[in-house]
Amino acid sequence: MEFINIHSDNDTIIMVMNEEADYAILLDVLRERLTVMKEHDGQTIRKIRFDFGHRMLDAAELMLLFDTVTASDIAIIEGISTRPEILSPIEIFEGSVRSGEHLYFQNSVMIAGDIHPNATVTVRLNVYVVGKIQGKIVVKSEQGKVVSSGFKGAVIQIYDSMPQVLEKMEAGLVYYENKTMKINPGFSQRGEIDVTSHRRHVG
Amino acid sequence: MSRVIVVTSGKGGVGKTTLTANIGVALAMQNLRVCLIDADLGLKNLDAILGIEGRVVYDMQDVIENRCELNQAIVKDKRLSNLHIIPACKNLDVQTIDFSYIQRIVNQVKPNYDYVLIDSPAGIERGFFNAIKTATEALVVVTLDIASIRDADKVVALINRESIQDVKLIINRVEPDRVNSHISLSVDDALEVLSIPLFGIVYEEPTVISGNNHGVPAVLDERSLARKSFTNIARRLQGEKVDIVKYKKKGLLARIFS
Repeated sequence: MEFINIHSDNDTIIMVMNEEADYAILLDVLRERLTVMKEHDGQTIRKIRFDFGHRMLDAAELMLLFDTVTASDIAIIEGISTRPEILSPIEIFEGSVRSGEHLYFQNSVMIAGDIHPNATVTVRLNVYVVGKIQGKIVVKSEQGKVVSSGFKGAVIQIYDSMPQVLEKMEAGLVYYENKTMKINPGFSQRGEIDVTSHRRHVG
Repeated sequence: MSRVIVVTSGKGGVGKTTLTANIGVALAMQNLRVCLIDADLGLKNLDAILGIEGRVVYDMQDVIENRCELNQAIVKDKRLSNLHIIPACKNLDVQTIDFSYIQRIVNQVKPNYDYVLIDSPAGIERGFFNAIKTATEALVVVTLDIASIRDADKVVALINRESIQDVKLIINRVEPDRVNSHISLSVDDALEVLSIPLFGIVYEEPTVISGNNHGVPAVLDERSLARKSFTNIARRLQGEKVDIVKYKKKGLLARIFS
């Protein structure tokens, strides 16, 4: 995985930050790059423009970014861009995803049907299934969620979690929080699937 | 304008060939011009079920390899002059055959018929894809077991990818006692998975097997209870509204004649 893609625009350094990498790891990599720049360029102050793509940053994450850059003593932040609004388009897939099919969606998708056994849907963000999930869902982003009116032998994988089988659950929500895949069955109570002992490493 | 319908299933042994033969005969009995094409090139059976095996001089391989003209390979049914059959290949060595030739054959014959029914091979290999390429409609045949339904689900997905939107379901070899005692899946189970319109139910009848073995399709046997199922499917193809009876119990008369 490439954490930071660096190029120049006149005097400004453009750092394109990986949208899906763990934020703490991303900042560690940034610190290393700034250290290398300092060794190479001495005390020349460089302007950096950060591009976070579709990643949304909260206030704490922004502060960490400022602190990291400030601590380097060789850079100032010229700008930060995020494009979270691009997350909003939801594709609508009419009908069921049939056995043997593997469908890919760039952002989020609403499946106006079922996901049959031996079918797979891969998305970057959210999956909303009007019917039942009996196949496999792969969600690339840790912010992604899976919502369905029923899970029956559904295999769900979000971000770096190991695929988990939901044998039988009525309507509910599956999401990723604090490095754990969690379920919210019936949208009224919280449960947790602890995958920390089985998590595969990303990158 | 000719209608080209592929009869397919995915899983083998569910009754594609039997249905192709019986529906084809039922359509011909309505004075329609019908051509049945056996696209199961390696394991031909359509001619045997129709009782014309002994009259096959040239087959599809002879046409493909230019040993005869297409019209020489067409066998006319003796019982119904408007029913014609193009049999598949007699030989074992079909690996070198250009399967895409089936499409050319279909395109060549269809102007001369009201219906062209293509008996698709089982599986989802090249024979299947060539069988569905020229069709504009599909009849998917299943039996009430999980393997058949799962395979049909994949087949429907593949058919839809070929832009065939008119896909209908026929459930074959239904035994009501097995359904009622939950040995078999139910019609509703099949419909829930496949989500395509139900076009016909054919009940398990010994006359169908007997008819196959003797080269007399059951639809020609007035004693056969399945005759009505096949006839009704043909009537529905012609646009008639005919109700589908989901389950029935054999009455005394039916038991006497079965």
